Amino acid sequence: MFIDIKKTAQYPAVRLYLSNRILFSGIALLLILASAVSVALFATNVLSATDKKNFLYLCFGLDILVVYFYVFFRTRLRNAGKVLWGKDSFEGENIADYLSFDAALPFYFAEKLAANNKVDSRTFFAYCIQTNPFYSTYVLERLGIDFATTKKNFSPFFKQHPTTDACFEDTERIMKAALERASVHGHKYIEISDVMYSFIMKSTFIKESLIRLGVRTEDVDAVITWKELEHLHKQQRGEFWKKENLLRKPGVGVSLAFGFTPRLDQHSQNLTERVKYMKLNIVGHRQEINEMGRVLARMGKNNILLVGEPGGGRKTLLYGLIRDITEGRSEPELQYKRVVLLNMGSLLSGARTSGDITQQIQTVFMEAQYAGNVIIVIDNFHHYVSSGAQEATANITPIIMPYLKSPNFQLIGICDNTGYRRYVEPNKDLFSQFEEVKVAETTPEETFLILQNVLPMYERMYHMVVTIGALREVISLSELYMPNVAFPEKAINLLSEICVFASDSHIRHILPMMVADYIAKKVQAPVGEMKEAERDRLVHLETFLHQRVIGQEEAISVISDAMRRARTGVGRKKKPIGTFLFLGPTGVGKTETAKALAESYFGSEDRIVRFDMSEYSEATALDILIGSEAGNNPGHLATRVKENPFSVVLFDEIEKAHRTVHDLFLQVLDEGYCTDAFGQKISFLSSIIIATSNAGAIQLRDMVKQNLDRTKIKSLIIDVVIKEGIFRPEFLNRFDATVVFDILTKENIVKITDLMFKRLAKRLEDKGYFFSYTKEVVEKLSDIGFDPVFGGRAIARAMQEKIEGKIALDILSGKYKPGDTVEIRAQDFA
Amino acid sequence: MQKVVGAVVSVARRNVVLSYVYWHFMEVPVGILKGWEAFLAFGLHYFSVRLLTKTLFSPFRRYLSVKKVPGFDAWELFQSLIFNGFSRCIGFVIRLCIVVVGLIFELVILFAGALMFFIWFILPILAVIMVMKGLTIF
Repeated sequence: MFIDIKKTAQYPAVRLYLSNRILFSGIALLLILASAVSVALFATNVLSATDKKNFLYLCFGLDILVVYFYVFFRTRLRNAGKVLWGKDSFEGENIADYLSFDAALPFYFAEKLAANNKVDSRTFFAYCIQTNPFYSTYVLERLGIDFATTKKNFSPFFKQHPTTDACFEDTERIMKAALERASVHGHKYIEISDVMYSFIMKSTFIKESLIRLGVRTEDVDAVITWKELEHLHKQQRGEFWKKENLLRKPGVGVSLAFGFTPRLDQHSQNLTERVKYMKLNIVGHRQEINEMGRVLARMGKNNILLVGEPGGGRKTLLYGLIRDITEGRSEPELQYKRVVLLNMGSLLSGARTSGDITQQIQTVFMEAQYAGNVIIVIDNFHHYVSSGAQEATANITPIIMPYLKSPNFQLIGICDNTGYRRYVEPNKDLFSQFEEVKVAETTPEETFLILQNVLPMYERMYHMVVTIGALREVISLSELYMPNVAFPEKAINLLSEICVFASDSHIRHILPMMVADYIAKKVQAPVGEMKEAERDRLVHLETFLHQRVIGQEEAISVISDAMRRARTGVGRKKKPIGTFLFLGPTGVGKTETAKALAESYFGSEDRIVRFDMSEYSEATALDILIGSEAGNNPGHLATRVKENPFSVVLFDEIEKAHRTVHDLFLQVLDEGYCTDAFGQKISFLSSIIIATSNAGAIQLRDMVKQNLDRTKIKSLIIDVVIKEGIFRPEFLNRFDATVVFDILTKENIVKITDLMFKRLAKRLEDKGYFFSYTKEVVEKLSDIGFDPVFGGRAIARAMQEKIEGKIALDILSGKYKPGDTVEIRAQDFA
Repeated sequence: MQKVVGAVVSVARRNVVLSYVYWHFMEVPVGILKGWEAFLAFGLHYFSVRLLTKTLFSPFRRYLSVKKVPGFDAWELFQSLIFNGFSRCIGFVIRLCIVVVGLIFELVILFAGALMFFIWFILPILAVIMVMKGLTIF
């Protein structure tokens, strides 16, 4: 293989273009002027009738010639290169022969400046950008790089880095890579996109510069492929004379071959008509669309239940089917079929009695059956059928059954998973009339392609550019922080929200950082790259937690380490943020630690979802936690975690929970989610899970009394809880850390008492009182409240009884008024 | 033979004049033929000529009188015959009208396509003649 632009068929075309472009522009301008003059001349009597006619001939003839040669240049000369299709080997061939006109142009310029026929890759790249400014701007902006700055930086960069042999070697390597990419992507010629891609991926100096600017190499391919697809779609849509575009227009006489449906038309929306005006690029779901086509084309059992989560693309799939029908890609039996969405609200609104409802529905169904080309769609189908035990909004089952059995009546019911399981599946008669088509949630990769399709609309609407990094961030963060909505809807919703926000804030470029900031504000949890304050807090997390938790150095250190791992992304991604088992006797600060963690990570100690696991010790515990389909009850865990996904989920006294609950936890701790009774996913990916237990507390006290080593105590306690069968080893292993809390010493109790006094002072200050107490007061109260069995709880109780009770009484009796100093002395209580 | 054609095409590609000849007398006429065929297919599709011809004698909008009571009733049978006959007649007339309009459209496309095909070949000469004639003004 070799590269020589002069020996290519494009060479004369490039030369012709470069040498005559000014001439062509001049002639075009002259013709426009001549046309204007001819209009003026025709309006006056300066010329005779014959001259007017001849002048018209002249203008018209020149117009034809210019357009004729322009078309020749555009369609023939610009496409003079060799075609890549069907070529496997390029041995001994000139690679430049396969260049498209746009790719040959910069190479022509670069070769003119070449020394000894060797083209400097940097000059070539500079000309690629110069000769294709729109394309380059698009690619660089999407990658988050400012085009103007990049262009400006070329000259200084070249001066700093003089041409070396590597620059010449680069050119050959780049051209070979471009040829390979073009072949793999099925391009007709080596396009400018192939050259640009190869430059960015293969050229040492460009790749390095881009990585330094924060560009990911996989994004380069994604952006370039994206642009190629956009160009292809635009080109395909623009060629109106092509058969496939002309046949998109529905026929005018079709309706004459089928029946009238006046009532149905009144209460429905014609989806076939609607899809005609939609810009629709279906991503994935091809298998489901084909399956729907096959079922609808059958003679019997030709009704469909479209089952999937809202927002998961059920309607898009339906639109895909309609597009297939209208464009003749589906089964011949479906040709001329009209898909209508029945508006059940409007249909049932006028009906007062069940007789009215029956009549209304029957009229509409009968019309559809007689028409012979109608496919009815009912959204939320499960709302209108009942399984006997469960009553839905309105039960149309008895009315619809005879129609469903008729081959001339076709229905597509759209259900969500829960409704399907609760109302449709148990009704065997009804269920047997349908073929079920499951609509799986789109994958993040498919969602990325969907976002690429919808993005141009948002960008046009809000006049902004969304970088590819921001788009990826939208997908990854919506996956993590919007667990209750399906893909692609959650990603599209988030993108739309961010566009509105950016538009209001007059931001023109949406970068990944902005997406993370927006989500962080929305969920009130730290997201994305860390800010200085957050980084500082994480580094000093121990100090922050110790402001609330006294003692427990090891526990605090283990938790802080785990949190740092989670936040920096060093830990596993598909898991809760952190999972901890706190072991230790009552009153040592387990719950306080959980609150401190909630405050440090989620900004408030109220971001705790607390479960007292002693309430879940019976065999029915699992049903209460994740719900029961039979009882139609949503579970406690499902409801509360779905409502507060960004919180510390605290399971107090976990050892008291039933064994089946422990089994449920195995999945939660490992995968970060579980499934409730209705098949809905409960995600814990944005939660910190803390389970507390008093198991082994008695043994812990004995060990402390024996002055055993700290690390030995921990392993002995874990042995105890396993041997006694309280927890299984696999359960303990699932936690990020099992933390054994120390028994509080007298010094700890004094510090806790002091902390409690400080908090009391703060509370009184909020009420308008000053508070004064001495060190003796703190020591005396800690003496009174010290109880090795109840730890901090005993102090809290003593504080309530001896101090808070007295102050409350004094305030009520009028001893203190707002602005006074409440004073407590050691002799005031005993 | 294929190799010879390939070689000719290759030479034609490198030479602007030969390239022009190939484009004017081969590439564009083939494109015009394809477009012509597409518009003819569009006409048949747009006026639903095939579907309407197939259902030419079907009842108008599928309106048919159906038997309501069991047993033989001569009067009901007569009424049905009259109604269904009318329904089919109306259906036939309306469908025929659309089919005729469709066929006229096809004729127009046929003629326009042929005209365009012919004009294309003489277009450069035509343009030059027009310019020459126009230049007589000076």
